[in-house]
Amino acid sequence: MHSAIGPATYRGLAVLWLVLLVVPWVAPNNYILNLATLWLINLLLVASLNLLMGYSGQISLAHGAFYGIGAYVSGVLGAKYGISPWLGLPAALAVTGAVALIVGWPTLKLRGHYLAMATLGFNAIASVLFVELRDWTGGPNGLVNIPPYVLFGWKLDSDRVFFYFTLVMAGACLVLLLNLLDSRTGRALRALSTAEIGAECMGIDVHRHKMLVFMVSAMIAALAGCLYAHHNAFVSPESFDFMTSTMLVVMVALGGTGHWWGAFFGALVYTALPEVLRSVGDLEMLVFGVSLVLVMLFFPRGLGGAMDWVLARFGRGRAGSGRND
Amino acid sequence: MQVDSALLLQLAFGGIATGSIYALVALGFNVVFKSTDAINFAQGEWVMAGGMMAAWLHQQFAWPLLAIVPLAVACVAVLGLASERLSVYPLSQPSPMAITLVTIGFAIATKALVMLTLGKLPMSLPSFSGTESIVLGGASLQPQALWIVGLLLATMAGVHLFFERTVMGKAMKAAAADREAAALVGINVARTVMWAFVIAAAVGAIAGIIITPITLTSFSAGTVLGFKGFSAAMLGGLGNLPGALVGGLLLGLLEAFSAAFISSAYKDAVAFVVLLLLLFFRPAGLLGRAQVQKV
Amino acid sequence: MIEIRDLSVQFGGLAAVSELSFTVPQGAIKAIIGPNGAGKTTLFNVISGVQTPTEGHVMLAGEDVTALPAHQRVRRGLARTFQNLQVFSGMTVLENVVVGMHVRLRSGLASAFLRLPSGRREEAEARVRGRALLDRLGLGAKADERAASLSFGDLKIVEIARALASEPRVLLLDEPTAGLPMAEAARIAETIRSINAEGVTVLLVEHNMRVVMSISHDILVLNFGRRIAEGEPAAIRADPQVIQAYLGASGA
Repeated sequence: MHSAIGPATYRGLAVLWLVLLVVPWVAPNNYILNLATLWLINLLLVASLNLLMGYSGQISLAHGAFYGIGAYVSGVLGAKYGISPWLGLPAALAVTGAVALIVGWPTLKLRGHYLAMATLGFNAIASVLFVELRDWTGGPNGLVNIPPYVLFGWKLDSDRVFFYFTLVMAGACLVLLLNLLDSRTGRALRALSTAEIGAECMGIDVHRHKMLVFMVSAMIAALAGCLYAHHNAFVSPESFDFMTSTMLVVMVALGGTGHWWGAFFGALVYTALPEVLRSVGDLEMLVFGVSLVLVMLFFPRGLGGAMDWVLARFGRGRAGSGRND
Repeated sequence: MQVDSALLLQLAFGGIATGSIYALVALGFNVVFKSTDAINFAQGEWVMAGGMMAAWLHQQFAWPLLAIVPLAVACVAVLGLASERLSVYPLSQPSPMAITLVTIGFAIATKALVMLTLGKLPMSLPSFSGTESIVLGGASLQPQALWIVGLLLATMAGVHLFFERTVMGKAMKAAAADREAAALVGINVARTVMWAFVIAAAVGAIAGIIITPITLTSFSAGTVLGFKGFSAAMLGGLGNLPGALVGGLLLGLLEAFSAAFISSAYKDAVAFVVLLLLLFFRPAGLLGRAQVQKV
Repeated sequence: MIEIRDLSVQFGGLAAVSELSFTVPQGAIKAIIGPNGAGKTTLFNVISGVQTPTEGHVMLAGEDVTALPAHQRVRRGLARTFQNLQVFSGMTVLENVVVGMHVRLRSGLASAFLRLPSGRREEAEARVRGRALLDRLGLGAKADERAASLSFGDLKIVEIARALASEPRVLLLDEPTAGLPMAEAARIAETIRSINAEGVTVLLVEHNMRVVMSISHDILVLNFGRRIAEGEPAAIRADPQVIQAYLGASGA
């Protein structure tokens, strides 16, 4: 089940981005502003994984690793070799794309949980490498002194400026994603995720399309990693481990698999959760676990599905009829 | 490093003991996977819960282990039952993905619940029969390791007999092979799923209890054990019951030997490199038959 | 147009199709009939590339396509429908048909990501053609409905429309009228005839004898994966072996 994508989706995105423009002026402090930046970065992670899970029916448990590869490749190039983050970005995307190709090629030919398994194993290997390639990554203590982006001699290191920078990058990425989904290729993806054999017999190269979406998804995660690394100036291995990957899958489902706006909710929960768990007591973890079960039970299409439900009721109340049924 | 037979034997002992635990955890994964096609993320938490429960009972009541162990296993089995009835059973569309996601939910809830009720401190259990090492071929062997291997084999045999000899076990096999056909001949498929979760919880609890005398346990120990058990299940072939034994022992031995001969830092990676190679070249696991997409 | 040479398909030790050879001449409507389990659907899966044969060859317009994946056969002019439907249920009827045009559309990745005007134009044209096709098959009014909301009979038509959208030279229809009331079956039979009249070769598996006898030029009868008869409808109707396979030994 996919939410429809059309002109209204583009308009919704444009309106949201206009509203977001004021965030740096209304945020009460830099802590909140940085959370907003992090939300945009997480949005790229969740939306790109949603592309894979929701629009081609594949599960990756290595999204955290791809995020990490992006962060480390660009971060190490900047911190250890003095290479500009603007060059680090394409390098990170290229490395991640190549790695995704190697992991995905054999497993995406198989039906079932093979991609989930291979990516889980791959994430474990990547986690070990992030720690053990100490000369590059700084080991378990993390990589320090990652330089910021510099634009025409202007350092993008203030929280406010970086928020706008992330807003532009994330907005561009989301528009590219929408374009992809609303195209011949996107239609082929939606087709193969509902009826794979049917899609193949309509002339769609199922393996090629799955590979494509897996690589695009991984590369967007890598881009998110670059933004994260150069904003934080520091990265450490536990940000990119198996738990990260699992939680990202959970956030896609919590938002609503295959629901375009679901990713926005998923990213919101993912950004807020550690802050809530850190500041309040242990009970929150229990509440989170139980809530997850409840959402899956009552809103199998996630928070995005819940939003549709509310909008439909509200809209129906106004229009006085069930026109949308 | 000098390689002698005593060292090899020592590594093999260690690998088999750890691998037996992995095999038990993998068995739990496989029972649930077979019956639902879902990955049960709570498996590791049940392992932890078993160990914590037994350690807590031991600390509070100082009862003999013979009473504590079955009681702790029963408690976790009830936990498994409750989790299934309250979250998997009511799902309106029980797809493997939906089931997997609710298991993540109750895995987190289980971990939090144990932390809130039994505390955050690591807990321990005494070894089942002393800690005096047995020396064998120049290598020393902890008596607890023998218990681990023995209980692994007993549990595997018990689960095997359950599936082969009991009416419910046969019904579960039939439902796993073809849900619709099983339902047509009058098998209550939802009931078989419930029992799969109960068995998985009980098997997990056993694993958690028998390893606690060696490693201690705490509320956070479940994630890693679950992860290792899942890797073992994949190595042996998901859903393949004997595969759990092969996959668990293989993973245990791989870790032990790669830690000694390659590097302890990379030991976790070695097992997964093997896993990836296996997935690329023998995708159905060591014992499974490959099911390549026919399209 | 299609030539099957010495085809065998085995599942484990079981032979679903054994040493089967036959041809479908260009412009023909050929029907395959036979009792359940005769290997008809397996044969369709092999011809369309969903299944690999154990032995033998599939030729399409003189080219050996046995080793080609299903999607490349579509490009070469082969299309099919499914007995138990493979409709893209979340999409509208029109979108289903436009998916069928996949191999006839050109816009690639760059066009997709950048939303190039050429790609948008192609999309708009594809939708116009899709609507025309649906109008022709009598589903025009339902073009913008979700496929999931359609009746079984309508979905069968959607599958045919989708297959036609790929501009095939050969159309494989797997039980196009199964489970439909007589009036709808007759409508589909009429549709098949008109498709054929435009030069599309048709190979169909069908149980509805009235449909088979009325539209086929040529019938192949299978039992246990082997040919037991082949010929024109009148000859098949009178064939004692066919009667036996259908009615059992007592009816012979």
